[in-house]
Amino acid sequence: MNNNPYLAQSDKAFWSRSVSRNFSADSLWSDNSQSSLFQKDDLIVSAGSCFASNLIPWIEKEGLEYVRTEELPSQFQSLPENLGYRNFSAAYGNIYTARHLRQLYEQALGVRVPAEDRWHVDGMVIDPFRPGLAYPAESDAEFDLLKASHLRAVLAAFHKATVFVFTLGLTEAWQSKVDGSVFPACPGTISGIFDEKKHEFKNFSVEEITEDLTKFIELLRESNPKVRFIITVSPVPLVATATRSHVLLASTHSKSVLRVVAENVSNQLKDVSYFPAFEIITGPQAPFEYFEKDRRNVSEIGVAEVMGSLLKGLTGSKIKMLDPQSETKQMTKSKAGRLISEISRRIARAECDEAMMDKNL
Amino acid sequence: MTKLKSKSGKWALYGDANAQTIVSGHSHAASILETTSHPEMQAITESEIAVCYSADWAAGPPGDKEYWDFVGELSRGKHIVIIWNGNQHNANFMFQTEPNFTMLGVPDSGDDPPAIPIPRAMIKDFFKPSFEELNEIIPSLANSASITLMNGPAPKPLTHIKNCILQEKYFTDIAKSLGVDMGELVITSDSLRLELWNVLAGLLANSAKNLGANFLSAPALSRDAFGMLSPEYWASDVTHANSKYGMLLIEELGKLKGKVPN
Repeated sequence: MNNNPYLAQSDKAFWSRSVSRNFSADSLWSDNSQSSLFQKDDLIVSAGSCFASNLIPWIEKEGLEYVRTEELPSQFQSLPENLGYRNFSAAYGNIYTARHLRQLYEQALGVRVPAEDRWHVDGMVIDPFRPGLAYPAESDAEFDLLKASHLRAVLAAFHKATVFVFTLGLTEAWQSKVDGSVFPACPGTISGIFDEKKHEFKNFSVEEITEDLTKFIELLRESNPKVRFIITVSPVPLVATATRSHVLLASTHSKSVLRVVAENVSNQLKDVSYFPAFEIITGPQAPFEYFEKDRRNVSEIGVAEVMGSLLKGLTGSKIKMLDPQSETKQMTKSKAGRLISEISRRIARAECDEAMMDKNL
Repeated sequence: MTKLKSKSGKWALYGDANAQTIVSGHSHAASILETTSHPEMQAITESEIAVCYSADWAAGPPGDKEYWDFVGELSRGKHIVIIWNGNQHNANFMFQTEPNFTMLGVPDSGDDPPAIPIPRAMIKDFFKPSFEELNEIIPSLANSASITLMNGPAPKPLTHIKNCILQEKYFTDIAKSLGVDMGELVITSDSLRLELWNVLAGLLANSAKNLGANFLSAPALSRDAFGMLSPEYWASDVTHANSKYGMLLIEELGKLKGKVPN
């Protein structure tokens, strides 16, 4: 046999030896120099599509700290919230595009003020960048107060992070024709009114997304130089496309673009790792059961497989399915809040009894 | 003072069954009962105002179905006054929450880290269940001459609350039973408790409007320059007002009577 470059390659370079047989999700990303993506004392912030919120209970169960800077007091935690805004480190909700992430941080830094910063709908003041909030502001003054607080919370979270996990979700977005501000949803879908004079569709290219993500990382490192990044691509296909293409073709295009961006950025910038959640779930080796029946949503088994690999090196053993009964630091904190509330309640109740026992009556 | 009782004997009407106005409701109605029960006041008020309250004061505050059925039975042709709750802000937010929160209308305290502002719409939604029962009670009083909803008195300053709580063994025992040192708890700022009370007043006024009832807020005279309950109207406890406050309410009701067709 003639000498050739493939002879020096390890098993993982060969489909037959690493995918057809002996597949290990860990082998997709780990090598001798990198046994774990996290350290026990890491402060983790995540952003991105809904897949970025899936990891939160898993990392908290492992005793890692998920940074939260915009928590509600326990009294309000049982009230309904739409679209999982408060699932994340600050209540920014899903951030599907790198442009949105970059613009959010620029707003928090005060270097960007969107031209279309609020919508007045049915007497309420809606945040176009969080259009589904269950409790929007009742006035412009309240909007200013809530928005300023939210942006402070974003800044605090991003600057506190030692690890920033970002899941790239979409290339397609709707933006302002005036200043290019990207909305998380097309105006008029969740809230607001679509106006073709003011709003337009945008399908970001590899170059544009690479630039946005790179700029965001560089900008954040100006204030938080030690932060490490873990970039993932959401395995969840597009729910719909605004292109003329079939949604499956549009989804493949979108994920391909995002995968190239993830590769580019993780290769070009220091301390930026790509974690292959996309390949673990969508690769030909993946069991049919990794997706739900709709072939779009990732099943609990699929999520468990991804998280098991993501947290490798911390667990010491194969990760188990999430136990809803297991108590995290977050749950302990909520319990303390509920205790304070309980004392208020008991004292007020006792007072009502006392009013009736007043000797003067 | 005559005492007409409900079927089980749990609830009683204090005063003349023919009185034109019947005051009902939760624990803050006690300030009016205290006023009308005073020997000097009885002759003046008994024929005009009767109070529907607990027969046994130690048995708990009014509010079950039998109580409201009893009020309903007495209501035909009468001016019914309902003093509705009024302690929701204390029951949930007497002590500073973790994390600390604020809302529009509360001056910036300068705390570091700053308190998280909670949308007013969220706070309203939080309190909303405490008004839902009115949707059943008000229609059941349709035969009355009028229905007036009143809220509780404005909050008292935290200095007073602190003294009350720390000196009362019963309260420190409650905290102890929950494993909390009362001395370490921070009482919610006056300005936040006041704004929460304002939200409650707005919600009650809104319920009154939606249900075709009148709304009478805490008398302006009872409040100090900051908006809190003036010391002369304090009962000795953390949340309630005294008989002098009850007298103010009776005066306000007098002004309202005649202007309130049902």
